[in-house]
Formats: sequence, structure tokens, C-alpha cells
Amino acid sequence: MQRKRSPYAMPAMLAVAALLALLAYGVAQTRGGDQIDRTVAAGKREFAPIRTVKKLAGNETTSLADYRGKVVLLNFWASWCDPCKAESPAIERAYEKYKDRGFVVLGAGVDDLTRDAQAFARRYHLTYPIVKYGSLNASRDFGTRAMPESFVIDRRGRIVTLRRYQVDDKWLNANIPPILAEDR
Amino acid sequence: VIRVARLAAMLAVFALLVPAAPAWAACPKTSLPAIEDEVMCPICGVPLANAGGPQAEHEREYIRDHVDACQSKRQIKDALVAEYGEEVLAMPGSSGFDLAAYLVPAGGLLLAALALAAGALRWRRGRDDDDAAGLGAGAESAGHAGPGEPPAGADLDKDLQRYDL
Repeated sequence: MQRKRSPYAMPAMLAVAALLALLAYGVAQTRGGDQIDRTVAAGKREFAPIRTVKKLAGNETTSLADYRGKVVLLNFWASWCDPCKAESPAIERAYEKYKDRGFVVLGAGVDDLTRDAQAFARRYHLTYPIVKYGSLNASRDFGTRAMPESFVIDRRGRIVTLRRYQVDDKWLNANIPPILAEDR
Repeated sequence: VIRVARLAAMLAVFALLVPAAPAWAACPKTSLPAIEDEVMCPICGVPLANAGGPQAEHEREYIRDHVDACQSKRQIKDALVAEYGEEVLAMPGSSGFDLAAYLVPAGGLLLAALALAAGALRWRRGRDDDDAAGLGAGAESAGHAGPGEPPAGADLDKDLQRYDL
């Protein structure tokens, strides 16, 4: 015997499918931090997300695409975070040491008012470029959870290594020179 | 005389407009309490109205500065978004994926209303069919009891006798 299908079955199924598609889209928009960690742990490199962000000084914008051809240390920090204060001198030292070899630090101020971030940069004599990066975007793009977090990106724009805590001279000097030595 | 009348009329219009200007430009246009309910303290992860600590105070100070600069609530919220990003807003945005936060519940309500209406319509139609069938059966059976069957109304009499006090 053939069962008669309700006329409401098709619209209901379509509604459920639409909701599932919406959920999948929302999940896909959030790039899991674990994914980057797994890729790096496997010794592979994936391209860093490109997002246009505002520079701390002035109204100009920039993105990682502007730094292609350079080795970039993308450092997420906030003026209110103590480990960020602790690591800042080491990052500035590394920048001064390697900048002539094609190295650049891109500081990404998160969850800070511009004036607080500027005061922080002045206090720690940071001379490298700094941008403003919303925490939601940082989390979506790089899976950031807490400040500070740092990502080393090669000349082609791929993430080579990362540190989800404060960096120090030892870590910087161990990780940056080998990437600088790679073929352009 | 006409010229004087025109001049007087223009002066009158001007006199009406002049007091209106300060009222239009009245300051402040909003207040800290009016805004801190609608924005988040992104570092604390709670609405600014419920947040404490130095970062929440910095954000309040920033809002106060903008209130003192005679900015509207909309302008101050836009400035906060420029500083912290969309996550500073306590309510989801009205574009892109955030729009789903408004559309999905509205769509759900609409679907539920449609389902209720359809269900009610179906139930009513079923009831009408039953009534029609009952009436038809009653009309057929009245005075036409088959052989061996009790006459019509016999069941009803039996039931009434059972409950007769």
C-alpha cells in the first residue's frame, strides 16, 4: 500500500535544509584555530588569511598582501595584557636585528582604543607598523583565543610557525633566521 | 508699503528660525547610560553596563568624550565599531550573516503560524466531514434497521435508562 505524503512535508524539509545550510555557512565562516595548529604541527604551510585592516596611525589601511616578499611576524597584542608588555621589547629587538634582511613585524592591536594602543606603542618604543584588528576577526582568521599570539609568515604569505603565548628572544632567534634564509 | 511689508515678513520668518537653531543643536544629544546598555565591553565579554575594571572605564571615558563633543548615539556607536569592531555592539548587525539573527526567528514564527493555520483548517474540514457522515448515517438508519438489529434510537434509550436516577 502506498502512503499518502503530506502536502506540508516538502516545505518542512526545505525549511530544515535551509536552516542546516545557514548553520554550515556560519560554522564555515569561523576558521578553527585548531586547523592552523594542526597544519603547522604537520610541517605543512597554509596561506594566512588576507584581511584589510586600518593602520593605527592615520586613516590608511593595509593587509598582509602588502608584505608579500617579506617574512612577517604577525603579533596580536593588547595594551591591557601583561604578557604583551613583557614580550614587546624582545619583538622590537628582533625587528631591529632582522629588518634589513626582509623581516617585518606587523603588530595587531586587539580590543583596544586607538589612544590606548598608541600610548602602548610609545611606551614600549615600538617602531614597526601596527594595525587595529578586531578580536572577532582575529578569532575567525587565526583562531586567536588570548593575547598575545604570534604567527610567522613566509615570503609567499604562508604560516610557518606560531606561538599562542608570549614570545622571547630565544624563540624569535630560533624561528626567524631559518625562514629568512629560504629562497625568495 | 509693499516693500516694508515684505521686509517685515522676512524678519518675522528669520525671528522664528533663530530660536529653532539652538534647540536643533541642543547638547548633549545622548548620554552614557543610554549607550552602555547597547554596547559590549569586548575585553570583559559582557554588556558595558555590567562591566567593571580599567578597560570598561576607558570605554566609558571614550563614550563620555564623544557625548561631550555633542555626537549622537548613532555616531558614537559607529565610532566604537571603528575602534573595536562589530563585536562591540550588543545586538547583531543588520547586514550579512548577522541578518540571520533576525530573519530566522521571523521565518520560524511565520512557518509556525502557517502550520497552525493549516492544521486548524484540516481539523475543521475533518470535523465537517465527520458531521456530514454522521448525519448521512443517521438519516439512512432511521426506521431502516436491518434484520436482527435493534431499531434506531434503541441504543440511546438503553443508555438513558442506565443513567436514570
